Amino acid sequence: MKDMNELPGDILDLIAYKKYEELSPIEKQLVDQHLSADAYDEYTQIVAAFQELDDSLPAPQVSNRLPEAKPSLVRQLFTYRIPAYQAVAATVIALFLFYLGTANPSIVEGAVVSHTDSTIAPNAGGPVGIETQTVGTPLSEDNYPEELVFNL
Amino acid sequence: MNSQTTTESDETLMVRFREKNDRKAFDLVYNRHFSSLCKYLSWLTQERDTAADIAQNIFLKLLEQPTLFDPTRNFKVWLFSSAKNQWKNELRNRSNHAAHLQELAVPSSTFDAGTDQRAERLTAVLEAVKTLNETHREVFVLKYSNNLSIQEISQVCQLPEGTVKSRLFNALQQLKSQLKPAKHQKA
Repeated sequence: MKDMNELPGDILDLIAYKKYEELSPIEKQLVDQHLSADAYDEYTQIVAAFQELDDSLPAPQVSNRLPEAKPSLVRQLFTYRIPAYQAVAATVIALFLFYLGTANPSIVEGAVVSHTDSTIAPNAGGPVGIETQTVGTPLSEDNYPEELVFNL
Repeated sequence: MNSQTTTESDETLMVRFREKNDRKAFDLVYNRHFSSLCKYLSWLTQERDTAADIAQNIFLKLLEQPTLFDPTRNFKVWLFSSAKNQWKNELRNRSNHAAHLQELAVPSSTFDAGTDQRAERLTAVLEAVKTLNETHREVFVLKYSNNLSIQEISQVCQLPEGTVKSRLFNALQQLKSQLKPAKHQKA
């Protein structure tokens, strides 16, 4: 039997699950080189007692205590949940606006025409919008600034 | 496939979780190792609540940042090393570490002892394990509670394999000498 400060890893493994009498001849030979059969069995009993103790200790329950992982921002964007009525309402509003824009184009055109009128002919009278555009001094021959008049 | 009985390695499962965001794979790894990690930390910290908190924190971090674990490494080694490091950080933040070490790791009354004789035997083992110094207790627990190989323990503890073996042998010798008088008393 060798006198040493450490045991081979194989013996340290065997101690955990085999009594001396359960060892194969090769394993016994290995153990005999380092320990007596009694010493080996003592270590086996110590480890078995420790494992019994370890098993009897109340371990925290393995449960679903972990929350869901936070998904990435992009993933959050694509998996964001909204109530069905909101989705339906948004669709209806979008369709309505699209209908307004395509089915009655005169509304849009009229607005442009009105604006054009107000710019070109501010004194022509017309839609309400024109009045807001005609603020300032109207230019006519009588009150046209003299410094801007060039006599050619 | 029943994920609870899969034989896939921890590393494979973590790759699945990391690349495909497969939460079932993560849960399987969690279920495999949470209790074991708590036990290791209980022996290490001597405080069961702290042990559970640290174990929980490690899995939470991993859940939120799967890239923390490099799949080319051994998962168990990574897990136990992370736990140990977190405990060291915890200790640094404590001024009353010495007082904590005086606490019982696990009060004798807490384990499911069954008969009086068994309770007496388990209490003796518990007291003997508590007499081991921290370094010896750690390798002993990693080996015989968590079933890590010598190589894995050497990686977790950052020690040469020879040192791990000698510490294990020393721990066994100390436990033997602690428990022998009790045997003789019984006889």
